[in-house]
Amino acid sequence: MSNYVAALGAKYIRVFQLIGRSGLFLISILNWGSGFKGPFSRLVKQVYHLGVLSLPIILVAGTFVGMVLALQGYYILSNYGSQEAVGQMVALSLLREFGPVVSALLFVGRAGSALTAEIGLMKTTEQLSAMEIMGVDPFQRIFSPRLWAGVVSLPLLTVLFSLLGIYGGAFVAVNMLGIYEGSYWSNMQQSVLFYDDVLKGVIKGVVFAFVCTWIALFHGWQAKPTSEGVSRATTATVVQGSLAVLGLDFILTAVMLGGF
Amino acid sequence: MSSQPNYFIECRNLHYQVDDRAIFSDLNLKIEVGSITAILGPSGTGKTTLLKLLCGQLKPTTGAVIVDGCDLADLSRKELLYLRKRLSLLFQSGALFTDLTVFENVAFPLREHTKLPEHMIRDLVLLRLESVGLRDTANLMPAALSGGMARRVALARSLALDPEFIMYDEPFTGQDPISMNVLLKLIAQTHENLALTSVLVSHDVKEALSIADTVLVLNHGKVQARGSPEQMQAHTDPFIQQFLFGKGVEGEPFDCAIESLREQVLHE
Repeated sequence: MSNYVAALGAKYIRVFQLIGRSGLFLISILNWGSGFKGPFSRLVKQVYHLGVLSLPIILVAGTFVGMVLALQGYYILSNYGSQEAVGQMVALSLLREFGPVVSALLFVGRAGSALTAEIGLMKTTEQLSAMEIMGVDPFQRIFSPRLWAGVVSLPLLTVLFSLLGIYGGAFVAVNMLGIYEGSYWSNMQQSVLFYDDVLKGVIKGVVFAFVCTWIALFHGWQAKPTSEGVSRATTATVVQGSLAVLGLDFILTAVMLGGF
Repeated sequence: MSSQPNYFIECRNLHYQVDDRAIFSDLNLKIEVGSITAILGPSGTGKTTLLKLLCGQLKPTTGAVIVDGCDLADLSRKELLYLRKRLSLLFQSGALFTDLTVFENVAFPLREHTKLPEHMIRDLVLLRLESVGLRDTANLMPAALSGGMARRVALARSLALDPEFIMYDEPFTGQDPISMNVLLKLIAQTHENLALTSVLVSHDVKEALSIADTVLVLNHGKVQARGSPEQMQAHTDPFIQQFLFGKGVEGEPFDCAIESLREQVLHE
């Protein structure tokens, strides 16, 4: 019995140690570094890797999500004779929920896993150690540009996801289901508010970006320097990142709707 | 800074353990300025760990590592990174940055620590690559290099900032005889030309003895013997004889098994 209690205690101590380490890690990587030109060029390179290379999956997914929303919305709303409101429904669903959440989930799967694997392999092949031995701080040189690149990229991807979704929805609603184009767009224009819908969605994107990139970088840094270690770290990034997005979405939505 | 001018690095009563396993216990060693010190020992004795302790990548459990008069434990992370500009470590794997070309790898420390104009960086990098005989590979990616070439590029990179102290981690492992001789000559020449203090960790005994001024043999977390290569060759300790010359010693186990084979297999 006492062994069981001790094992349970040890497990929880490890979890709290991990949380503490990840917090200290975050503090270390927030520092952008000295000067502007060098860090900025590294940031641009990482925005390309994390953001630009994620564009195809985000744009395609956004279009299809918008198309499906329009289809589902049309059949549900037509029961009440209000199928003209499909544009409003598609836009609000995308801007408030689907845009930030699905983009973040796709971002964790594509960019987050790539980040963890990259950092894990850099650790395995001693590239991080080599950098430290040269007197270069890998936190500033490697981790920080990637964190800020994530924070820049995901909100922009979120906006593009929602935009393509709205156009995908318009294609289905107007061209396939015969909704009058004027009512699709004017309903949307009347009901979508910049601060409450667009900006709050972008804020969600910023929070998700920060948390997902932090999780991805931390798991890469913590990965055991073996092939199994990197594989486990990559899996942990995707699982924990996705769950963090869904959990945080609930909290943020509740706060934004004034539920708490 | 230079309170101990004769010794660049000192380990005082160094104890290091991982979980419950002691890697070093009460280890004392001194590396003389301007010398080549070969640290020899069988695989698994912690030679690479010792190098990581010497450059402050690992912290000793107890005891001190003194580099040029500074106790590494007293330095902040920033001060340690600053001190490391004067040190260099040639990793066993080379540890080249795989996303940069050979040229950019060698230029990396120069770009990070100096504000030299581009044309000067270019000249310095090409000179360093020339010194390791690989100027032609400047535009290749590290993946296109053989193991021996990668290690020579890594050597060029580790010398880019003209360090005072360089550590070589198993530089000869997995090299063909030609590459091995090239590396051996390079290490000796570099040491001579740049007036470095060098530490060479290896289990390639013949090669290490041929260039070292001082030899330390590690075993079971301690320095088992130290002296000049000639003194080592004349050493009478059975382990030293076995390790240096492969002379069989009856009853001297070469592995580190705690349990006997009979106990483990036959459960006796």
